[in-house]
Amino acid sequence: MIIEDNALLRVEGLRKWFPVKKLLFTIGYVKAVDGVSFSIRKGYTLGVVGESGCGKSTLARAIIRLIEPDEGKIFFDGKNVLKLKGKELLGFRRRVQIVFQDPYGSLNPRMTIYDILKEPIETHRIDIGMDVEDYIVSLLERVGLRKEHLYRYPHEFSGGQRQRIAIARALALKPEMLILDEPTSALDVSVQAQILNMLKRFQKEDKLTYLFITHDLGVVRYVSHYIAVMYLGKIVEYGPTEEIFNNPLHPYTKMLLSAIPVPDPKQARQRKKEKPIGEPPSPINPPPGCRFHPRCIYRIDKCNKEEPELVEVEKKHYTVCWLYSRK
Amino acid sequence: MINNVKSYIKTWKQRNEAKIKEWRLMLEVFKRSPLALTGLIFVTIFIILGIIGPYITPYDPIKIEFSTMLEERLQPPSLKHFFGTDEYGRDLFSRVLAGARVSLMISLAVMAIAIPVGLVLGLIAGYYGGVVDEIIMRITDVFLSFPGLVLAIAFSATLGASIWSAMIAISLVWWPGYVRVVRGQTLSIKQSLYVEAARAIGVSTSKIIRRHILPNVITPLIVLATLDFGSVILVSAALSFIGLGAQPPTPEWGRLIADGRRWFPEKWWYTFFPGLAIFFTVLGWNLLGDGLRDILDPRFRRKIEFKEGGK
Repeated sequence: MIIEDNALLRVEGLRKWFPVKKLLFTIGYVKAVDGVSFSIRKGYTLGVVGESGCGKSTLARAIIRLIEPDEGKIFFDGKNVLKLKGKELLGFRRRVQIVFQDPYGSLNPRMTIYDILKEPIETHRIDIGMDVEDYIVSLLERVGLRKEHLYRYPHEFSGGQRQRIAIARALALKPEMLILDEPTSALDVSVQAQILNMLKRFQKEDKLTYLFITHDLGVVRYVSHYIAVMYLGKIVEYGPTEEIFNNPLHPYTKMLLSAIPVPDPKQARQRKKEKPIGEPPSPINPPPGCRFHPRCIYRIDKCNKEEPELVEVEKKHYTVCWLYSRK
Repeated sequence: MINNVKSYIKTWKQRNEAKIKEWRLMLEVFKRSPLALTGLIFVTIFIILGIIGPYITPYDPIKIEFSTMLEERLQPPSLKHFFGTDEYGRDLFSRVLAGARVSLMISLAVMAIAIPVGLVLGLIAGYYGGVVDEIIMRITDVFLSFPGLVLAIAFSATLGASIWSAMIAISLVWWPGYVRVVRGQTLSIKQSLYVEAARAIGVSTSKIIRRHILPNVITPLIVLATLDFGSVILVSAALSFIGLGAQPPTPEWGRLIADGRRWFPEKWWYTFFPGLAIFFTVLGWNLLGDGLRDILDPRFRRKIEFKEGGK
């Protein structure tokens, strides 16, 4: 299975359906996350890729309990996160932090950088062994900002600088794991590279574990050790990064990879095209059987009837597709 | 490294550099808006008169001088009586000056009741949602479904005609508007990423409301309250005009207009000057409110800043 026993974070059968209401009646559910399982070992990065609306962000929010999932288990360091309350929950929050996609929305416009970075320290009363101000300045310097920035407001910074502040806030509590919800997709390409390199450096220095959510395949290849491909609330393929890129199994993964633009037009024409068909269907009442079957070019008879099961095709390389089923 | 950090963060001025800059910008926007400045001047005069008005009147605004009543009665404006006199020979200038206090008192009392009630209920309804929200909002809907003035008249008539009942009646009508505004603002801020980030950090609910939501709710509330000040003065004058609210001999602008109606239009000054007082006061609050909205909107402020940079 995808789940390893010695992992830092284990997610088992996570499900979150949002009811769709019309007047007083529930007419359906948005199956944002529908039975997702995976695990991440300490110090590794798992990249989660997928189109918009496939449930990536819901997954991130459910793991740190900003959203309460309907079903499933989340184990962090052996403890079931969904059962935590009060002080234990606070302790979990100290160890797992999140960085959001939009650095313009994630910082309170009425607080100075000092106040923003002081908030986590104040909330957890952690032992930092020095003056709070000194600690905050050291955080700023770590993310590449200067102490002169301390008493300024967020609107005085660029997008990249704001994202650095958001990362500094997440790092303030010396967490063990960061959930990065598209941390670079709102930034310029040059700034993206700086932020990604910084995140990689912090991972090495602090042995951080990352759950890196993105729709950018280039970014995910650069930062991740493992990749999980999500489609309509389910993981359809999972494996080591290079293995996924060199030998994609699931038709959806193939389609995604073929959609990466190639700079050379000749090469682009020659490249075997896995032509994507249509748009992802609505996550309300997704198609029966394999959810990808209406867009799949390799579709076989049973695809729209039975849901395929997870199979390990290569070592540690899993997919959910009838083409690889042994039956 | 630690030492030079310390030396940098010493003075208050450096610490609050960004805040000072922000205040400067606000002042700058204000200075560039002649309308807001006019509003501020009118409102300042009104407030000063409301505080010291009754002490600086040239004549007693309430007492009737029976000895001179007959010859002083209903005199047109002159150097002796700037606004003329009423049917009892009282100086109307003195009565209008003294009337500022009643209007100020009523409007302040209404704000002092309606704003906290609106703030608390709006924050609760907006942040917690669900059943609590439903209950609070349906009750406010009931209040909002009547025209404000009609409801105020009904309350005021039930409570008996006096300044106090007018205050209570107007407050009862006024709070639902603030609940709406605060709830709406709370709902949108609650879903902002910075509130989510605070929750992810583990900040307690009460701190999230105090630190993240309240400061962002209070700005539109200040603007709305400023704009409403004029309306409250109008409604209280209307109540007094129809005989509810302030009772004779209390000098109240609405009441003065009502009393002067009998002599209109020959003795025009009797209704004209109290009307003028209401007009300028309400106008002043509205202009100030409009100005504040621009000043407190950071986006508007930025525009000014950029223009300045281009020079």
